[in-house]
Amino acid sequence: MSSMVQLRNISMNYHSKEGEVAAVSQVDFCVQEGEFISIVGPSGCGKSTLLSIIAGLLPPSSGDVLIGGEVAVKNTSQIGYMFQKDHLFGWRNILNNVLLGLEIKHKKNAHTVAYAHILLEKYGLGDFKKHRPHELSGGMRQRAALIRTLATSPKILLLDEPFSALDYQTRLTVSDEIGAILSAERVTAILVTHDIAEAIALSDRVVVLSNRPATVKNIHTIDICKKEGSRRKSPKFAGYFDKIWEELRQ
Amino acid sequence: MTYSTEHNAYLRQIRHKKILVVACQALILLAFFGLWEIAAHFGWIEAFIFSSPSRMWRMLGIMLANGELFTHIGATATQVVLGFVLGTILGTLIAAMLWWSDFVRKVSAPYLVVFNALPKTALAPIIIVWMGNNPSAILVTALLISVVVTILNMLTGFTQVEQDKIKLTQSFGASKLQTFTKVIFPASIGDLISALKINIGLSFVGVIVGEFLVAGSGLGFLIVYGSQIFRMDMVMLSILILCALAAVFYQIISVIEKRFANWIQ
Repeated sequence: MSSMVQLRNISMNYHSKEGEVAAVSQVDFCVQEGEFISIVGPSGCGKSTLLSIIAGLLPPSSGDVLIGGEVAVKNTSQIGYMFQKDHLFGWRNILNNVLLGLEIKHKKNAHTVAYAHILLEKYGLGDFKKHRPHELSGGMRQRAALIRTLATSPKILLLDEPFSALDYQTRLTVSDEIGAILSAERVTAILVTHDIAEAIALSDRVVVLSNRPATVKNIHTIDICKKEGSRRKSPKFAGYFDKIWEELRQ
Repeated sequence: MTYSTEHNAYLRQIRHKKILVVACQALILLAFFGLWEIAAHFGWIEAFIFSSPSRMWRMLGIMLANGELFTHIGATATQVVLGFVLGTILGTLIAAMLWWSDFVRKVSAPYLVVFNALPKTALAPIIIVWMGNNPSAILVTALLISVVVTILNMLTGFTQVEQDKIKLTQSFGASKLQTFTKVIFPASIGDLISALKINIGLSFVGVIVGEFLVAGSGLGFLIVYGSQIFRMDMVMLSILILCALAAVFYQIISVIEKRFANWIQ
């Protein structure tokens, strides 16, 4: 397996008039192709900063990010981003929201539009293409937001607490759904979350970060078969949960 | 569809309330003009100075007959629409420029604040000197009044778009122009409409002030001219027409507003 994303010695300092804050310090890890990685850490430790750096939206103070073995200079066309809120545009219907990325990348053609339609049909939004976002439930909106990124065929998907704005029940359903979609589409994914259970339920590996400035504390390989339905029911689940929780509290 | 008696009673109650409101509104209007007419008729007020509805009605007849009323209404309406449209477009364009460049925005901030606080009508005489005694001076006055408010309104709208929405387009590799056209501008349509609502009133102010000073036509001219030759019927009639004109324009904008009611959700 080849490394899809490689972080080499990433450090990030924020500057303001009041002074300098080290947000991320010497973070080093790899993500394999097709792997689902979660990053957990105390709130405000610089998790989201790390994602922005990987996406190329924020240049790190030092270190570099390799995408597919090459140093990513500017945002490559291989990255998709998902946010806490769905950020579907109220002035576009679902289909046109999904086509946003293709429009911006000037890749809107018969072929890619057909693919967007296929994704919408496949993931249960086929009947809602002409609907406005506010007519959909929170879960459906988040699914539409995912399809919006998938429509551009990204190799890597960055998820910045994408479920935290949903109510608990929806959150469980949607995180399972999205996990299933991502493994079906074989996308490499990096999820930032503060929900330990969510991280364990979805990921192949969980990266635990320390308090600010964020350093890698530990990386857990989650050895629970994804196929057996909800991982949350597995007897091993609680073991992982306790270990990560213990690390976060230190 | 059939409703329960309770629901029907509820609907009836709403309808009654609405009728009552409209009836009261009509009554106030009627009472106002009625009292005015009676007061003038019995000599409680001097009809020569205060005019009266019947005198205004006669004046309307005369001015309609010789066709000059339409020329004046047309002149004012054209200037208002032009000032309003140009002010909105120009203001939005300048706001877009300020959004584009953080540096220009910071440099221009104090000038904008002062220019906004300044009563623009104070500049009208200068504009007339510079532009000459012609309709374009009126237009520039109207434009000047609405443009600054538009700039400030739209700039607030542009800069208040959620950061993550911008980040979303950037994650697709959007250029700054694409970010503007795909997110910033459409997300600020609500602010544009509130700017329209403010501007229609301001444009009227600008045009009327301009016509006071310059014009040989327009409702503002009629008001000044009428008061100079002591034809108060003409003055009052012009003001009344101005009210009607403002109401029509406001209605048009309300229709546009409704059209965009659930644009952003």
